[in-house]
Amino acid sequence: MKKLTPQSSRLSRRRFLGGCAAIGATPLLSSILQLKLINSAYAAGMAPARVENPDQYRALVCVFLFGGNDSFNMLAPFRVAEYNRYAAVRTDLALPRNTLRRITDNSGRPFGIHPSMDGVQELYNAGNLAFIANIGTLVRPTTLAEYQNGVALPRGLFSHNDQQQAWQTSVPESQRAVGWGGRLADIVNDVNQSSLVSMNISLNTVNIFQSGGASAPYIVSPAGATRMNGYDSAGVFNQLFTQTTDDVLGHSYQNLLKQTYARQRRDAIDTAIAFDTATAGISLETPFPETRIGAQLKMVAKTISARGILGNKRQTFFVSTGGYDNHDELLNNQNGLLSQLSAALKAFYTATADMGVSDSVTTFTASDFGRTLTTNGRGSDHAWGGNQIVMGGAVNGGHVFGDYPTDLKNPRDINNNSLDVGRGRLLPTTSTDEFNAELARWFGVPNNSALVDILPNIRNFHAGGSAQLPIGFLNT
Amino acid sequence: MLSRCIVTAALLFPLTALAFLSDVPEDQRDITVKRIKASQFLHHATFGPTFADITSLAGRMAEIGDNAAMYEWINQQYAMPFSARQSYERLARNMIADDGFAIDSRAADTEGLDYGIQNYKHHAWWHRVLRGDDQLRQRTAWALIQILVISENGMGLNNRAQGHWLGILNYHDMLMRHAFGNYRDILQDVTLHPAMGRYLSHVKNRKGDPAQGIFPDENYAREVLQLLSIGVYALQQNGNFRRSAGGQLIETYDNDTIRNFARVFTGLSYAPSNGRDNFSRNPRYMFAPMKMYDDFHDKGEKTLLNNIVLPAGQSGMDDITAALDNIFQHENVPPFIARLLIQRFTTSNPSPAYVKAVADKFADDGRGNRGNMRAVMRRILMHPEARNSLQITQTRKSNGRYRFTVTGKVQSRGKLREPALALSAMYRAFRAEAAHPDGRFRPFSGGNVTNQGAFQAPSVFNFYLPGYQPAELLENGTLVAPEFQIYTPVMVNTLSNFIRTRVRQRSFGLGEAGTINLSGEENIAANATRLLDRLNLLLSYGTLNNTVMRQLRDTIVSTPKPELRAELAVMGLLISPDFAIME
Repeated sequence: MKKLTPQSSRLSRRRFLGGCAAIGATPLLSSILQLKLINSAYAAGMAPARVENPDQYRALVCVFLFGGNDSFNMLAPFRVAEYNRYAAVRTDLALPRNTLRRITDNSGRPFGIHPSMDGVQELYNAGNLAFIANIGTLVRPTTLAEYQNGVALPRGLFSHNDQQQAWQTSVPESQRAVGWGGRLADIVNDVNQSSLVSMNISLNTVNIFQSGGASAPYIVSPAGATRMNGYDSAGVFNQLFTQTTDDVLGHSYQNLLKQTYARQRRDAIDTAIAFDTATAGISLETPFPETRIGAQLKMVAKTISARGILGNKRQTFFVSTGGYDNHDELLNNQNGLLSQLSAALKAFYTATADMGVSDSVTTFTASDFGRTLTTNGRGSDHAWGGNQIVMGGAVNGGHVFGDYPTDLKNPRDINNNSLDVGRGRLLPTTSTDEFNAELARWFGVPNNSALVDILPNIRNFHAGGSAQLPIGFLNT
Repeated sequence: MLSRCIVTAALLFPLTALAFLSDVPEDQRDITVKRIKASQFLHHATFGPTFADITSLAGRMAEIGDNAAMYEWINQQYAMPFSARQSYERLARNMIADDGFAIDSRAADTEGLDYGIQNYKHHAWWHRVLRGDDQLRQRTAWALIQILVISENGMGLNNRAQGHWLGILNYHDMLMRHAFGNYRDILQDVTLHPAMGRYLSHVKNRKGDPAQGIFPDENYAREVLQLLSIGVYALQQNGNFRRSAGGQLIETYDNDTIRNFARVFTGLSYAPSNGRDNFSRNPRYMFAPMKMYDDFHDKGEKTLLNNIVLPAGQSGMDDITAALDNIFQHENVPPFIARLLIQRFTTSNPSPAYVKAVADKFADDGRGNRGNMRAVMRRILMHPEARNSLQITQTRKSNGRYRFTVTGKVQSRGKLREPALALSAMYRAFRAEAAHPDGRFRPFSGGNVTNQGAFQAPSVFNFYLPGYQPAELLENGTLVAPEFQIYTPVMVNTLSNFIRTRVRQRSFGLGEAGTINLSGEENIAANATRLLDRLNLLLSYGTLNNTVMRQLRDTIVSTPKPELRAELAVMGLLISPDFAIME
């Protein structure tokens, strides 16, 4: 999300070449003005939203596990009777009970965390991490019969890219790739100061989650932003190179792709300077594991540390890691993946605590889908409902929220209706909408039409005006 | 400044030397139009033209007509053989042997090799891309591997042991072999290739045992439908969605269909090797099609697309052949594959008419053949939306010569150049040379610069999704631009930093100590207009915006040094939207 920025530095660097060079400044200025106008126009169409607690810093961190995490091995049953039903359906994919890390939820029901997730177990026991059970994409509460009749279902069930999109848009029936984090930013960005750097920061990849009507993520690498070498630097060649760059990117192009390209490259140059200036001097005391996910979360922590310089009261972050699509070699691969995830989450939580912002940062996992409880002999296939993690000082930790079925071999909801859409694919009992609404409420969005602007289907699950949160995993 | 520049140019150069685009004499007008068109065509069909390539094709266009010359060029490409000499795998093996290594050499054990032996696949890819005459075949294979994706990232395809990583090049050679063949054969050989078998896990996928709660792996079954052939929703022949009476999209299959196809793709294991011939115990072997073991194949009845039923009791290979026939005959295949291929060559947003024209050729090449890649590629490259997309305006100047202005006719057409092809175009335009005496290039993939290293797709969903919309284009609703997905802020600055270093040092980079050559540019750099005209024709087929062109010229003439002028002009062009977006 861009706001109008002072043009003085850009204009001043044009002066050395004299009058002819200034021509390029006009379309450049107007492209940023244009973006600002789009911004206002979008906001004007929405209900006026008063962001709650505008002065308190809040950050949401989405950890996307690409490929579809087999999350009934991340959080398995532990009570003997429940475990036996788990083992009966998972057969060769079942983790031995004596390797699971035993935890209990608030009601005393025991669960087993994946053996490689010691950090997650510690966070859970310390009350800083919770699980949401059998959550998935839904348009509205759905029964097995409705599924079988194809009533109001998410599009592209069991398909990677469609379900990745559905998790990120929270509008699973729609083809439009506009993310709920982007719509969230459209509303809450008013509490941030004007900045060239978006309040939505993504590590490495473009994503849908943070792309809204007026918002786009700013993408950095674990090393931060990359500047354009020589741009605006001293020396005759660099000055000419800078001018050359301004010449080709400052023009207003008729072709829509060219104009998009010019604007993005222009922004990439200017934003890298702003982001790098804000974050380059920051070093963290907290050690992070040297893994891909660890390096990404470290950069998130650095960016949070720079929130004052960036002028942000609200930020969202998107980090991701792949490798979860284990049709084959599931047990081996998941060992490594969940071990890395757990260690990175632990380090990140510790970093936020060390910075004194652990209550202000909430981290949550998301994934394409859960996986079949039944095996294909070597791994599991694409399914639907699964289990997710929420972490942070504001989380009601040490609890498993949602309805974790007691009998996974014959999974049923609390009304004893079957949840098995085939091969142990679970019909979700908690929707991504409820999950996201709770995160958005904590982020400062009131439970009025503003919440509906962000999550158009939320009223299928959660009444307006209610002060109660949809699930209850967060303290506001 | 502007007037001074023109005066300088006029004094230093005979007027006949000014005849690229800005100051074209009467008798050069026709050939100039042909050069513009030839350059555009070669940017569509190759990894990037040289100035000589453009001149040569334009000359032939003058002799036999524009379209005739382009058809002739295509036919010459079709006629070029694919044999061991053109094999990427063979080339990699030869280079490894010549360099004194083995296909499973460990870096630490081998003096002089301080990086993974697997990088020879990138050496081979770059060498063939930069030196091969069979440009269209290679471009077609490059497009195909972005549809029928495998990757060195994931599923152990890049394992060094016993040279298993060469299986990736073996797969690519298979696509090269079929590039001008038939899409049905592609589906067959992709399905049976061990690299795909590993990548989408249907190798050693065995029939289920419902009593034991074991079911066949659904991975390949789903992706062969979703990504390799028909897609998720029913399409019209023009690529638009079909809709139900209620206006809803129509799914082409449901999860039951997937489960039936999953049962089809059971019983395949690696080809026997090392004296072993056993479904479960065959060692990994990447250089022959997988073998069907009928004892491990699900022989039950299966209901496929359009409710076609495979009878119980068929052999595994009969099932697979019938299932691939079932997929291949589905009405979605022509428009689905047509759109994906068009997007890789000419435009991200083809009109329905363009998709239909290509899909029609896919469905029937005119002789009753479905899936004829030659007919498809010819149609993609020669469709008016590709060949007649430019508005070429000739303005008579006061000196009696002409200024050419080239713009796209439709502001939503064209495509963002794939970053890997931006690099290849640079290397080819500026006549890259390898450092090694054998003339072979030995670079790394460049994935850290382009986000698009060969064989390095992050998943089976390729480097980008065909329907990706950059935020700025979302407002428009329908326009897509897949390549933008990997042009992240970090990538664009990294790419331009890389190009800057190459241009300033005249060096190849990517670990290859070779060179690039700007002498053709330096030699004419005293005349900034001529320099920019040459680059404009070479890199962006005349589409460099006139205003930008004037600004660049004014900037460049601030330095008198020809080498600096050449560097600034080249960088300006390579950064410019008029190079990046191929209108």
